[in-house]
Amino acid sequence: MKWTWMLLGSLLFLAGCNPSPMGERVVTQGTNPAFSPDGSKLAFQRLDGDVFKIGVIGVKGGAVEWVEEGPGNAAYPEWTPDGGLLYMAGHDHETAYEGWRGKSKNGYGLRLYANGQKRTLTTGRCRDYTPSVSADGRKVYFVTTRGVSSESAAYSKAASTRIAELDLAAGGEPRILMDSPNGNNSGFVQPVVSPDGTTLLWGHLENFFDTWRIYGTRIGKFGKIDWCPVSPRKLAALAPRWHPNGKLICFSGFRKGDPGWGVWVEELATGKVKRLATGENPCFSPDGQFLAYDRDGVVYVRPFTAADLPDEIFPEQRDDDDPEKVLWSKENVSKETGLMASGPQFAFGDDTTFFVRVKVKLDGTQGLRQLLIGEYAEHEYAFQVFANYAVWFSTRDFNGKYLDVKHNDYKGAREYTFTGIRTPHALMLSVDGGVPVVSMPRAKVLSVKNLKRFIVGRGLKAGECVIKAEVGTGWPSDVPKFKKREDLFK
Amino acid sequence: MKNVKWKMKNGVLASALILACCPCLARQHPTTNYQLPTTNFSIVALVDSLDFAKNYDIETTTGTVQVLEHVLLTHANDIWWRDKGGGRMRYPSACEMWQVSEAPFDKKRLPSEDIYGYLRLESPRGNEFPVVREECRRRGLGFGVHTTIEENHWYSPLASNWTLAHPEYWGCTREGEPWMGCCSILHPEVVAHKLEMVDERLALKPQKIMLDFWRNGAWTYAREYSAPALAEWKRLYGDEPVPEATDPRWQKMVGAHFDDYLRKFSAKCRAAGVEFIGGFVGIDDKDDASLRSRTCGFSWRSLAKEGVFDAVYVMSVTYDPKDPFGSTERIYRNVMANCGKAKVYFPLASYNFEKCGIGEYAKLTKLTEAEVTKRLIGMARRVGARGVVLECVDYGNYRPDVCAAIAEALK
Repeated sequence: MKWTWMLLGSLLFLAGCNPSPMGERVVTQGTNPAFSPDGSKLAFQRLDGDVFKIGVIGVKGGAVEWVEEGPGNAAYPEWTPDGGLLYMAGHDHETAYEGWRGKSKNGYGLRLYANGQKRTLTTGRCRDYTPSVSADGRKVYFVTTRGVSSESAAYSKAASTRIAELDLAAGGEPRILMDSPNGNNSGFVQPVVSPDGTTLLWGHLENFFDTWRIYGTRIGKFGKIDWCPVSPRKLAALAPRWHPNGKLICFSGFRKGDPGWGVWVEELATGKVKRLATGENPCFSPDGQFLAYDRDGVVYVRPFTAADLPDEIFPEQRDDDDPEKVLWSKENVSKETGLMASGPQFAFGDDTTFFVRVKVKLDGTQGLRQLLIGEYAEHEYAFQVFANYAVWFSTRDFNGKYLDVKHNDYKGAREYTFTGIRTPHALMLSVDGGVPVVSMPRAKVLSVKNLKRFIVGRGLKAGECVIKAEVGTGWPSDVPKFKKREDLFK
Repeated sequence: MKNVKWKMKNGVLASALILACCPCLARQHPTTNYQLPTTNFSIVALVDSLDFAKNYDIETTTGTVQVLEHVLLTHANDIWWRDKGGGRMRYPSACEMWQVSEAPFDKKRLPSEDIYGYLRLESPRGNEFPVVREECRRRGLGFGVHTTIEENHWYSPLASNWTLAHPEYWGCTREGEPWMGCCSILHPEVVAHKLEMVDERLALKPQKIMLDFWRNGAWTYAREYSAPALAEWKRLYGDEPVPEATDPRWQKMVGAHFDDYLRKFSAKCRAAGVEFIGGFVGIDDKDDASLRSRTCGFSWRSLAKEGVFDAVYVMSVTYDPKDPFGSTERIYRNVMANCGKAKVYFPLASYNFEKCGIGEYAKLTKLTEAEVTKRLIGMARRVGARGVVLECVDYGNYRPDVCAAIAEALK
């Protein structure tokens, strides 16, 4: 074993002496590199046997100083501005059953290694990971499973991970900043704050049929309506890191046709992007002159030059730029009513954004009420808004397969306004003008052309009624629009 | 690679130790009072140990034996044990490294806080298969592996490591949006990986392997627009625009690659003397063209006639609710007449997946579930089936009266 490591070390050293044409140089075996504040060292993680451990090595190679090497695992190193090393660690050695029965409190928490001392920042039967530190060294941002139910997770309302904040100086309990209403097929990873402390970026998974995408928001604006996608839709993207100038980021990305995960850079003001190398988990050096990343379990460093600046714009289709235009409405329906309607204005095809808005009085009990159905020649349930123990907006994919988005804010007897929106790429549902829940099916939606009729109020109970039902195109005026990248980086 | 070899070596060592300890461990548990099979008719139990994770400590030998003991209350005489959930393996796999499948060590994988998110069945410690195989041998039970075509289990934490690591093989939409849920079968590297997984399953030494096409992890033709698929379309149809996924020519082109994979899968099983079983849902008594979108594009009848499948497991049938038993028997007979020499298994489902559960028949016919059970087993025997499959046996989901009816029907 020792000889193998010596041989590997020699090979890495030799490789390090011979940079590739683009200046790429091997540093060591490992992943998730992070430059020290003075740029002279790299922290990284390495899978050694069955254990992930954390080490520090000079940027030009040399001996590894092991910071955390078990028992248990450690990963995701990140430096604090004063040279401390922050990372995730834990020793979850019990069986899942033992843990579930309350016999284990072991999970993965945050640790700080500074001045030769290790400090435990967070503990508990949860996972706190991918930490980053604000430029002033006061705040730690990370993702956590804190507060996520350990029961029936497959049907959980909470996201799989949330973004949390910890005061590094004062310590105490982490504060949950962000959750996603899309349930446990959604989640966050690797939140990173901008050098000026104003903006947070993270990897975001919106739902099961989505692929990772980088999102961002202003610090303090943590509600979903303030989030906006930062990376292009056709690019899988996660693990962002800021350039010290605050205008560029690098990240792990992939688009169709690439040879694998790549190191990408993006200019935030313009949305221009560029793929620089095959690899993952990139980060900039503190002076912005170098990039470190990993590929196939090896850490590399390469220069970052003017030739690497982003120069490609991904064409993005806007789903929601047109204002609301109501095409049809009906008021005061207390029993099932079929209303014949037709005309080219209802031929939405598969590329027009339209909405369905239903103001209703419901008693809040369970039982299916199909509040508004669009019956088309292409499908008898081309779209519908229906309530039961929750409320749904549904449509069909190109093949007639059911697609929906569900909102849980349906409880109690009162008036509600449900607004379903179908764009070419997403289904959304808002309750009472709140932030819509989004589902992106990643399959083309049904092309609807030939309307037969609208059906209103099927299954209403005594005392319930549809106060007003409307169908229209554009973005409904009662639903707040999501922010766009331009709004965040004006 | 060194790590992989080291792990495999330790995995083998751990397996050997578990096997060596098995008889004495098994003696610690009273054996369920069930009768050894006296018939050639199989009562197959599909077992996903994950479903028992809150009942027994399934990462231990004791817990695994307890699961098996519970399953045998159904009077099953053939055990098909699940090898993965999506891409998370239930044995130490060299193809799917276990360390990174444990959240949060691959940041592309979301964690689950439920007990399932903490299981390490793919680690050497959690390896159930040597225990199950030995227990089945000792008790005279059949032993098979139940595997799935899916690369995720409809849930991000259960995506395949290999898939997450290799976006270059991902499927994508006609509009060019990649999806990390599964890879495109048109990449030869994907087929090669799948076949390596077949070798791993054969190394578990089962008597049979059942490949389940119902658990397909949201696979669809609409996400098969990979680079090789587009190139093949161009080769076949020149400059004709790439069609929608509903186009039969697109489906035939994609389906041919599944045919190819299944033939290779079958050949490996044959070489190892292992029975290869295909599992399909929604079978009716018509031509199966309409089912192709649910079976990855191939014709199971054609492949069964060709001898690719040694057996076919009809996971559900699309019967006529006005004549549930009559129409079910017609479908059964149609299947028996149209799959060559392949043996056939029919469902005996506790759950109402695809509206084909025992309870659904009971509701439609006003019979008790025990009576339905006897009727369905009797029907399967009458048409010449090899057996029925309990899909799937979870903790207590086959009621005692149903279990008693199974025992009685076996007499």
